Amino acid sequence: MTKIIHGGGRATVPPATPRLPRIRPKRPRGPARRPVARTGTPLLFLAPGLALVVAFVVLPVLHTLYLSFFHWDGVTPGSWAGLANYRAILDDPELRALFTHSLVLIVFYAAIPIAAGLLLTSLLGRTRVRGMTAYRVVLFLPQAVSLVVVAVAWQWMYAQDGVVNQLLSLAGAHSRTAWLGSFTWALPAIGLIGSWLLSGLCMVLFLAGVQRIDPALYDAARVDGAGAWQEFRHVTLPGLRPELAVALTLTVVAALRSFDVVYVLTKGGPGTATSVPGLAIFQRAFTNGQVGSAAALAVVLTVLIFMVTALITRISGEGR
Amino acid sequence: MVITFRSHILAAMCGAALTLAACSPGSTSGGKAVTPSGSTLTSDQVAKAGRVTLTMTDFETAGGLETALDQLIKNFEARYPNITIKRSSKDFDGYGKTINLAMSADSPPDLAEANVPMAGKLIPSGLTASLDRYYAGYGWERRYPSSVLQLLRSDNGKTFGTGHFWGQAIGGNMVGVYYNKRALSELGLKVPSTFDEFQDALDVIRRKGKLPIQMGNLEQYPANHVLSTVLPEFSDPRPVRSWINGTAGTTFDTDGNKAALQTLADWGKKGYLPAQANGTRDDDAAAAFGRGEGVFDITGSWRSVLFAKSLGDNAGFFTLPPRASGAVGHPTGWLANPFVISSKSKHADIAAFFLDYLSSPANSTITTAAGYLPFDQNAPAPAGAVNGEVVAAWKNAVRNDSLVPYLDFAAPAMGNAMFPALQSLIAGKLQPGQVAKTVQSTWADYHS
Repeated sequence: MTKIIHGGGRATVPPATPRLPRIRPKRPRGPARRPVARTGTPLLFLAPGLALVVAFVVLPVLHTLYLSFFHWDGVTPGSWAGLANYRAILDDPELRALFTHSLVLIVFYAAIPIAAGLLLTSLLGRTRVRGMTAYRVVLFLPQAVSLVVVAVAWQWMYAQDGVVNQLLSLAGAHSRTAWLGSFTWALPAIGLIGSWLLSGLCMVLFLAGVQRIDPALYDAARVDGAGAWQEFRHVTLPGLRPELAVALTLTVVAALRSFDVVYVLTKGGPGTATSVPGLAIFQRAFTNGQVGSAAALAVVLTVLIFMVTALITRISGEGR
Repeated sequence: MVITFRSHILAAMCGAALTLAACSPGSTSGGKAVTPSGSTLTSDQVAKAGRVTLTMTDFETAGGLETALDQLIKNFEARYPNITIKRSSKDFDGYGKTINLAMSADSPPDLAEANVPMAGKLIPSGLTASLDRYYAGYGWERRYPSSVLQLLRSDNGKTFGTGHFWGQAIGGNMVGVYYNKRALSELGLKVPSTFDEFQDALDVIRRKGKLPIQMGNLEQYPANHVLSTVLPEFSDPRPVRSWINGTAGTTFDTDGNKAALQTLADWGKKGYLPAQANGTRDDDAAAAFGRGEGVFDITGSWRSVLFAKSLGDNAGFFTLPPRASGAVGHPTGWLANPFVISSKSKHADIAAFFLDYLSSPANSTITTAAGYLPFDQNAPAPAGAVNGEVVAAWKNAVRNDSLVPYLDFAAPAMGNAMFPALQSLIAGKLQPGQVAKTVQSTWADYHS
């Protein structure tokens, strides 16, 4: 995603090593070739990939955009709507509430997993831990399990007699709340599933990033008397900047387009307490027979996701 | 190169946009509608019809209904060896999303299961054959009470009650009050004969520290079954049926309906419903009722099999009694999903003959045992005490022509709008007036 948007970020760090003079490879002898750029050859090489992207990404996106200008039930001929579907989205306070829910989910899907990932990385990355692979596998496991299975398991855990309440009882806090039915707690409960899902992903990203950091920097920091926190603050964190940008992009996008967990766990309930734009798009398109409205909402969500991604890229300086 | 590359992309995009703009969405073509002769066939004619393969598709993927379908197909093929029936099925969620595509294909299945919202999309596209002549020929019209027939006729898929017949079904299902016989008698209570007695019983049960009505509403639809059961206590069922049919000028926002919504809200507030109903799975609540938690459970006849197993002879069933003793009650119920015949089917007459076979009184032993409720008053009572009580209550409702169909048939978006609102209602987050408005505006969006 980050690579799609170019421009913006400026290089702030000068190259670490002075540039070496380039040694030009010797041209093979023979008749002078026509400059490659003038022919269609590069395009020919690009064509297979490009065709796939156009067929399966570009055209569907354009088609969605096109549909968003119609009133269409999905079966009978549609009628031109102009911007009516977009106006309806802006005028609908209930839809705006759905985007507020997405913002709450960003805290759980992005902020918490990144914090947890950094913590795990500093714990696991700093010292040699026995059974390191086992830890990594366990923490990454949520990513590998089917989301529907995950959702059903959490449904049981959040039930009135579920594991969550049993653990709370052990801790002395007796609760008889069925968490997914609570207007207050259902959204955070869904959010925590996102945290659990994405923390492992962030950790794996960060662990990989840490290996890339020059050990000499850590040695230098230690020689200078840096403690664990200072080491983390001044060596690990700046070194992880590219990984942080990737993690932030992935997790924020996951929060904004969240659908599956909500759909399987609560269908947006209780009331509309956990409803998100993704769910509204799905319901409009596939049950309500409001395909145009669903397409308009999808376009709005896509634009929003692109804007957020662009913002993250710009801030992190990854757009070089 | 960059410029060439970009202009190529631009050209491609423009081309695509033009192609797309050329046709407005939904104007599909391909596959010609076949005019079925509409003949009613005899067994001999079918036996001599030569080799015919019928394809059918449905969403019965588990339980008794699926077993019964397979059994009936096998029996039919044994009786008519020249006919082969190819059945395919998909779970309900997936089925609902693909049925339009499947039916608009060049060679669609001859028969497809379709509930009212699905039919509402198939009918206006001309994908379903009119069954009028089969209704007349096979006498199907006499088979159903008028309260059931209304939703089976439509010309535009939006307004029901008049027009061509579009579907035919094996049997019905209904919502009523399951109860725990032992729990009720231990509390010194009898099966109520009026609605007031029922509400008094709820109060007694609550005061004695027991749960009056079991409910798991995490999936959002179960509270709707309670509402539609209570609704006719406060509203004349005739305008309610007209509203479900989509008749112009009708509204859900009536005093009677709001009184019914208020009752549901009160039941939530007074603790007649479980405090955590909105966070409990429907299946988990049904299992809890089977363990003896809760005296009543207002749910559909599809739960009979489970309750007969878990509660045995302690499971009982009645339809919610009316306010005046001796008056006719109006339980919620309709067909357990009709089958439609494709307008492109080359074997429509044989498909209709097969539908008649599936739903014939001669097969009601198989279909009733599987959980379909029979329209034939002489259908034998199925094994198991509670199943017998359900079938008896159903026959009563069919005889009295007193059924009211499911409220969410009123518009495709109705479930998505109404069910969450009912969750909010029983939690005290929305008032009856607000729910009635939400429901009616969803209806008006579709029917205006």
